[in-house]
Amino acid sequence: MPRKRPFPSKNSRVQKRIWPQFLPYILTTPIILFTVVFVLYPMFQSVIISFYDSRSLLPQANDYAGLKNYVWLFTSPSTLITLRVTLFYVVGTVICSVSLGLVAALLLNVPYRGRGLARAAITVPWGTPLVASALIWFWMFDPQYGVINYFLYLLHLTPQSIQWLITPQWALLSVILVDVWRIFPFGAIVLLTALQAVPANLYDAAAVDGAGSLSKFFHVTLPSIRPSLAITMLLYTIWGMKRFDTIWVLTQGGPLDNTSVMAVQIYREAFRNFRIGRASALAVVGTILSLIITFFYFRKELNHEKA
Amino acid sequence: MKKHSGKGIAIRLYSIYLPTLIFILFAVFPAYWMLVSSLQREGNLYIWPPRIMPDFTQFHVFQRLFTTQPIALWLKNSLIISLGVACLSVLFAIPAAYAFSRFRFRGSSVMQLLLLLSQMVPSTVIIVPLFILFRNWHLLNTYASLILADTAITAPITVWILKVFFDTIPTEIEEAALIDGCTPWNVLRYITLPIAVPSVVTGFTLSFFEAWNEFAYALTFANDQQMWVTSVGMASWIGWLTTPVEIMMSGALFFAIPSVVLFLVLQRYLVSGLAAGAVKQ
Repeated sequence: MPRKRPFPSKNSRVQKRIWPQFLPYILTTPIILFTVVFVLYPMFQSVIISFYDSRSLLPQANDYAGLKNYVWLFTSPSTLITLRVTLFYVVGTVICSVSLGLVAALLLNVPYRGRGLARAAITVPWGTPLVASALIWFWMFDPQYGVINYFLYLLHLTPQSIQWLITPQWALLSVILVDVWRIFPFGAIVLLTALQAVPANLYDAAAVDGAGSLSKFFHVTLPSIRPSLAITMLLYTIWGMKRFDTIWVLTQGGPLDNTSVMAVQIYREAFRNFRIGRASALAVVGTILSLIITFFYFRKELNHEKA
Repeated sequence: MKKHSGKGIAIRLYSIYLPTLIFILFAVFPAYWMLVSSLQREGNLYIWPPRIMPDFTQFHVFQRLFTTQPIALWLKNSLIISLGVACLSVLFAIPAAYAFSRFRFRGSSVMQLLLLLSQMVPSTVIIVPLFILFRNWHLLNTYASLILADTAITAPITVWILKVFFDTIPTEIEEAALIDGCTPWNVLRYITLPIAVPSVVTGFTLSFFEAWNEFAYALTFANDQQMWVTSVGMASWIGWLTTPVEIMMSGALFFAIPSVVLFLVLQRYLVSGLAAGAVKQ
């Protein structure tokens, strides 16, 4: 007896031919429109503002300054400092967070009693809101009553208390520490999920071939979690490039520009010095730099998928 | 089954349990210190050596927090905005992620690049144009402005998470259903989405936190004190430095608890769901 199909109606064949062509566009249009209105159009306006030497929120026609802001940007020594600090900050956070996240994920992937509790504990920083973590680390870094200096004192590591957020050589490292603490659990969760999705028979096959645990890691685990690893690194990089809040709350870019990453420098220029044009010029150049990095990443990943 | 020898246990101790313990201490200690610092007698925070245990007779610090600071209002504002952002992000992201994962169409990679690009724009870059836009639309000091601005940040992340997950779901079931005459919409509704629930929950949670955390927009678009969200309100404590440390810490604790708890609850469900999905595959 032939099975009755529920869905095909008279015009189903027509539908099938029309739907798959238009469907993807119908599905993607809302988010694309939304992004254009609330991100790309404002970005475009920033480009326009960057050609004005404006001292107020609304650029006036007679504020038009041509390339003045860009000339300032490429001749000012503070630009170089901003680039150096941003690079150090981003590379430092990404490397530390990815490594810690991967190690944590590998540890959590081993089955034992109480593993769920360990997993929960490790994800606490990720759930802690940004301003809350800034407040708590601000207090822990306190030179006089902070608990970090107390631990160093107990371990006899330093002769005197360290002024974490005020000393040039420590401020950037302190800020990196806070952000690594906040974001490494994200990598741990994503990578743990990926590790659990690695088919067990791959490991069995490797074991039959006589692979040791190191060899298994490099030939089975790493290739299997590669997509997740790439996504994690990409997100960490993007977040690092735009990180503003933690640094602003902890150091406001100081001491002496030592923690003034791109986003903080833009904010200082706009809302402290009220040079919205200069801030926008810096923003445009910074965005182009980030774009180039993403473009290369995206192309590489696409090629990888095709292969 | 392997036999557990003494040597095997020692290896596990040093290679797994001890490193895990160090990770746990690193992750949890600041949260613990937040608790210790909020439950202290007035003035006890400024002594050396610091007290390392909370004083459980000091719970009335939370009463002081709620009577001296408008934190209930801030928390309510944060909650409304975060829920709005999370719902809106998921609504935008599901169809888009499905399209990117399942269909090969012209402009697909350009659109994905566009979404990725939107993620790279720091809020400080577009904050002035957005301010002008919301002022023209009379949306300043409304929930709507913050929900819209925050969703522009979170929706693309959610697309990304969902797409990666959709990619791991084998297409055979869907193809079979399509051949049987199921419409693409019904395939998404009855086959793909139920499998993808964990990743939808992930996207929802991450969007919620992003909005709960957001600081720069909230500071700029909602400067009326009635519209302050918790992050802006608490950041104002750092600015003034007249708020006692135990009040600051108890506020931070109160702000952190809902998001940490929600995250832990969802994460259990999320990981077990993902594991089940992997087994099916």
